[in-house]
Amino acid sequence: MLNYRSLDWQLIGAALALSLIGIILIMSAQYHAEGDFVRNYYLRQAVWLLIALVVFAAIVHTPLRLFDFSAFVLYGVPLFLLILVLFIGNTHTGATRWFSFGPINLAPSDIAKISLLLALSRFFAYTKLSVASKRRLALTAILALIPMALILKQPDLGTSLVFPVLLFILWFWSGLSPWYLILIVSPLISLVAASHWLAWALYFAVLITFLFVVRPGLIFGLFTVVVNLATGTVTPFLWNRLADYQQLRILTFLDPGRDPRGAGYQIIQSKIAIGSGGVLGKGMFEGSQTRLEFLPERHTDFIFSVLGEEFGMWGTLIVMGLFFFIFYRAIVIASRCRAKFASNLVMGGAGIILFQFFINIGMTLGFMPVTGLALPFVSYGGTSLVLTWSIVGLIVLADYNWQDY
Amino acid sequence: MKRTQQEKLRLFVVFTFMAIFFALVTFRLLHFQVVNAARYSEIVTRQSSGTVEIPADRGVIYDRHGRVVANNVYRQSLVAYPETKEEVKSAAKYIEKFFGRQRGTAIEDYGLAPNRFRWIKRAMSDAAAARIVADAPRGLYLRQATERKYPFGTIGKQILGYTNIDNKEGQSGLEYSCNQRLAGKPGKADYRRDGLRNIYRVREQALIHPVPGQSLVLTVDWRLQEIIEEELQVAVDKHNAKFGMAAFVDCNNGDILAMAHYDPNEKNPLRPVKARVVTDQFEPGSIFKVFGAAALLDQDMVDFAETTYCEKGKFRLGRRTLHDDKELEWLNFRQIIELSSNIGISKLAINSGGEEILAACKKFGLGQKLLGCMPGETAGKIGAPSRWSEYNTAAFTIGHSVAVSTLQMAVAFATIANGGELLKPRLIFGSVDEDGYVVRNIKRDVIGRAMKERSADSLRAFLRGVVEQGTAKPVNSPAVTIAGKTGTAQIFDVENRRYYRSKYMASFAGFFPAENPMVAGIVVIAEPHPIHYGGYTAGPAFRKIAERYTVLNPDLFASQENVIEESKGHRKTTVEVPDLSGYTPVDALAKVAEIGLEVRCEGDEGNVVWQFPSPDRLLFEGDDVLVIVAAQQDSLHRMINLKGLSLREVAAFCGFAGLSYEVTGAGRVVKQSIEPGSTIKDKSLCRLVCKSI
Repeated sequence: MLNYRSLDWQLIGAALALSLIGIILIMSAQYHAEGDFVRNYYLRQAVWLLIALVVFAAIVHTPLRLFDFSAFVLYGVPLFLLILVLFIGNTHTGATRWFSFGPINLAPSDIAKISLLLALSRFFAYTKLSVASKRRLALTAILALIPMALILKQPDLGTSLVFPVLLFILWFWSGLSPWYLILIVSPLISLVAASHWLAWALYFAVLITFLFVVRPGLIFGLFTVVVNLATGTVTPFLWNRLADYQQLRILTFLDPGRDPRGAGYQIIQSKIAIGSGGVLGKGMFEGSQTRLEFLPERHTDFIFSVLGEEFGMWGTLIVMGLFFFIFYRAIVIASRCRAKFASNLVMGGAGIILFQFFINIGMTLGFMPVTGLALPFVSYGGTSLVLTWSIVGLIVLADYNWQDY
Repeated sequence: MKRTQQEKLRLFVVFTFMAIFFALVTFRLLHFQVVNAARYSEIVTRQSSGTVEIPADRGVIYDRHGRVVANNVYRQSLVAYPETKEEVKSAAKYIEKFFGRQRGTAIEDYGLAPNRFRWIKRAMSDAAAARIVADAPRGLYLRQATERKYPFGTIGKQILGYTNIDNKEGQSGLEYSCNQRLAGKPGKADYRRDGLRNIYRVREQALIHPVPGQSLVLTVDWRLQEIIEEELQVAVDKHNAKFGMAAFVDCNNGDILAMAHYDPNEKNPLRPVKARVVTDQFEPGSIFKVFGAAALLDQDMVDFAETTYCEKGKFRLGRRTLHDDKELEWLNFRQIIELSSNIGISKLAINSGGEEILAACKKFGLGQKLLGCMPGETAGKIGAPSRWSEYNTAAFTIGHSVAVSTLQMAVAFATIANGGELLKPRLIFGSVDEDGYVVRNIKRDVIGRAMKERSADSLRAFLRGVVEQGTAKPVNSPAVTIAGKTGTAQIFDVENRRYYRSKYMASFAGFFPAENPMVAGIVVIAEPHPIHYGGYTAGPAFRKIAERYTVLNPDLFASQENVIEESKGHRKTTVEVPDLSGYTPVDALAKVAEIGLEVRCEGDEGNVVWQFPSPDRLLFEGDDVLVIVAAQQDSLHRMINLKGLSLREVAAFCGFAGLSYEVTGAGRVVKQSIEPGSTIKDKSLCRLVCKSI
C-alpha cells in the first residue's frame, strides 16, 4: 500500500497549479471567440486534466520495477502506432499526426516520447557507457533516431527534436564526457556555420584545434572531421531540399521583420502582446491582442503570450517560478535516486519538459524558431497534458522509491 | 551518500544550464515587459485602433420662399477592397453575375487587385444594395455616401453650380463660392480593428462631432427663375439667336429674384461652368443711353421743351459718321429717349462733356463687382478714352466702347426705378440656424445715390414712354405697366477690329409696374435674326416674364388692383383659396364649390390636415385645390395617389410628408414608386415619372 505522505506533494502541487493556470488562460484566450465549441476549450482541457490525473495516479500506484521490466516492450508499441498513423492518421494543415477517435485526437508521438524515455533509461541503467563502447553509443542513437525519423516524416520538426535531445541528456547523465558530446554536436554547428564559407572555415580551424587538445582517438577524430566536412559541403544542397515553410521558419526565426505579414507575423504579434502587458498586465479577458485575434494559436502554441499580456510580468514570473521549482525538484530527485533506472527516468523526463518549455517560451519571446511545441501543463492539448502528467507520475514514483536499488 | 567528483561536475553542469536558460528568459521578459512596455503598448494601439472621418452633411439651399433647391440624398455605393487573391476572384465573380457582365472581364475592367480600393458602382438603388448586403462575398462592401440633389433639375442651376462626385467640393456657382459655409467640418470617430482587419467597433461617441454645413436661403424666387428660363428659351429659339441672358432684381432692396442664361449649345446644363449673367460682359448699346440721360438730367442741362435737330439720321463727327435707324429731324429730350436717337443724345452729351457722363455712369455701379458671392464675376469695362473727342463722347454715350454685365444692367435699372439709390445686389438672403430659423445676414445695403430723385422720376416717365409710344411698343402689356429701354448693339468683331454688319446684341432693360416699380430687369438676346431689334426680340420676352410674374404674385402687386382688372377678358377670374384645415372632405367640397373652385381629395378618412395652395393664395376659377385628409392632425402615414399632380403640387406634398423625390420627365405625374396607400417611412425616396399632358 502506498504511503501517501511520502509522495512529493510540493512537486505535485506545482504541476497542478500550472495545469489550473493553463485552464484559466485557455478560457481567457478564447473568451471572445465565436462558437461554443471554441469558447469551451477550457472545459475540454479540464476534462483532460482529470484524465491526466487518473493516469498520474495509476502510474504512481504501479511498482517502478514493472516499468523497468517492460521498458523495451513498451518501446515497440508507439513505433507501430507511428507507422500506422502515417497511413490512417488524420491530416490537419498538411501534417499527419493524429488518430481521431470521435472528438478526441491522439498523437502517438507523445507516447513515443515516454516509451523512448523508458527504453533509454533502462538501457543506460544496465550498461556502462564509455567512449570505448562505440557500439552501445550507436545502438542508443538508433533507438532514438527511429521514432525521430518517423515523426519527421509526418512532418513535425519540433516534436522530432525532442528525441535527440532526450538522447543527449541521458548520454550526459550516464557519464559520457561532455567533450565527446561537443564533438558529436559539432556537425550541427557546422550546419549553421556553413551558411557562409568564411564562418565555416574559421569554425573548422577551431574544431581541429579542439581535436588536438582532447585527443579522442584516431577513429573518433577522423569520423568527426569527415562528418563535419560532409555537413559543411552538403548543407547548401540540403537547404534547397527543405520545404518552403521550413526554410521560411528558419529565416523568419533569424529575422522576424523580413516577413511581417506572413511567417514573422506570429512572432511579432506575440512579442507585442507580451510587451504590452507590462508589469501588471491588462487583466483577465482584457488582452486586446488576444481578443482582437492578433495572436494566432493563442490557446495552444502562444498561450504564454496570453499570460504575458493579461497578467504581465508578475504572471510570467510566477509561471516561470513554478517551472523552475519542478525542474529543481526533479534534479534533486535524480541525483539522490539510488537506482540508475529511476535516476535516468527522472532526468530524462524533466529534460523533455524543460526542452519543450524552453523552446516554447523562447518562441513566444522571439529567440527560438516557431516549431509548434506546446508549453507543458499550460497549452491546450489532451495527449500533451496526459504525457506531461505521466512524466510527473514517473518522477514522483521514482522519488517515492529513491532508496531502492 | 557520497557523490563522486564526476557526479558533482555533472550536477553543476545541469544547474548551470538551467540557470542560463532561466536567466535568458527572465532578461528577455524584462526587456519586453519593463524596458519596452510602453513601445509595445503603443504598437497595440496603433494596429488595433484608428480614427475614421464622419462626413458632415452639406447645407441645404432654399429659395426665398423656402423651397428646397439643393439638398442631399443618402445613397449606397458598392466598393471593392479585396485583401487576397481569392477575395479578388470571388469579388470579380460576384460583380460579373450581379451586373450581368461577361465572365472574366471584371478584374481587368475594374482594376481589382489585393489591397486596392475601387469604386464599383456609385449610388445603387436600395433594392440592389439590399441584395448586396445579403450575399456579397468578402472584399466587396457598401459605403454610404451623400449625393447632391437639385429638385428643380436645370432650373437655377447656373446660380447653384454643382458639387463633385463625393459631394464635398463645389465645382461652380454658389456651391463653389460658398463651399466653406455649405460643406461644414467633418468629425472623427474611433474604431477598433481586429487581427483579421475587421472593423470591430465604432465607439458610440464621436471624438469630434461633425459640424453640418450652413444652409443658405437665397433671394431668388424659383418660380420667377423657372419663368425666365422658359421665356429665354422660347425667345432664343424663336429668333434663331445664339444665346440669351436675363436678370431680375427687386428694385427696392436689391434682391436678385432670378438670373439665367440660355444657350442651346451648352454642353451639360446640369453642370454649368459659369453663370454668364455675372461672368460675361457685352457692349450694351442703346440701353446705356439712359445713364447719359440721367447725367444730363442731374446736371439740369435739359430743357424739356427744347428740341434738337437729329440730322436726318446721318451726322458727321470728324472722320466718322453717326447713324440713326430712322431719318429723324427735330426731337425734344423725351422723344430722343423714346425713339432712341443716337444723334440727338450725342449732341446733348457733347455739350455736357464726356467726363461728366462717365462720372455719372460710374455712380450706377458700372465698372464694379457689385455682387461678390458668385465665382468669376466681371466688373465690366468702363473708362475714359485716350481723348474725349466729340466722336468718343458720342460713342460712349450710346453705349459703345463700354462693357457691362447683364446683372450690372439690371441693378442700374433698379436704381432708376427706385428713385436713384444704387443698392448692393443680394443673392444670399441669409442662413438657417440650428433651430431652423432663417438668420438674415445681409441687410438692405445702399451703396450710394446715383441720381437725384427728381431726375429719376422724369427718366422713369420717359422710359414708360419708350414702351407706350417709342421703340418698345411690343412690350406694352395690358396686364402690367412696363417701362424700359431697348438696345440693339452691333457686335464687335475682335479679329478684324470692326463691328459686324449683321450681328446684333438685342436687349431690353426696364422695370414694372411703371407707377410703383417693384422689379427691374433685363433680357439680352444675342445675334437674333432675321429680326434683330431689341424691342421686338428681347422686349416681348421681358413682357411675358413680367406678366407671368405679376399673375403669380398678385399679393406682391396688391396695390395695383388694375393689374388684374386690365387683364379681364383675356384671363379667367381669380379667387382666393379658403383655409380648409379641419374640414371634412364633404364640407371642404361645399366650401370650395361656393367660390368656383374644385377639390381633389386624397388620404384616409378624417379631416383635412393639409392643402395646396395655402390659404389666401389666388387661383383661377375651376382650378383644383389639393387637400389631404387624415385621422390625426398633422400626421400622415399613408402615401397618396400623386398621378395627375403638377410638380409644384408634388414638391409641396413631399415637403409636407417628409419625403424626398426624384423626377424623370416633365409635366404631370404618371407613375410613382411608392404605391398609394402604402406606409410612408420617414425620408424615403419617391421616384416619379412625368409626362406633359
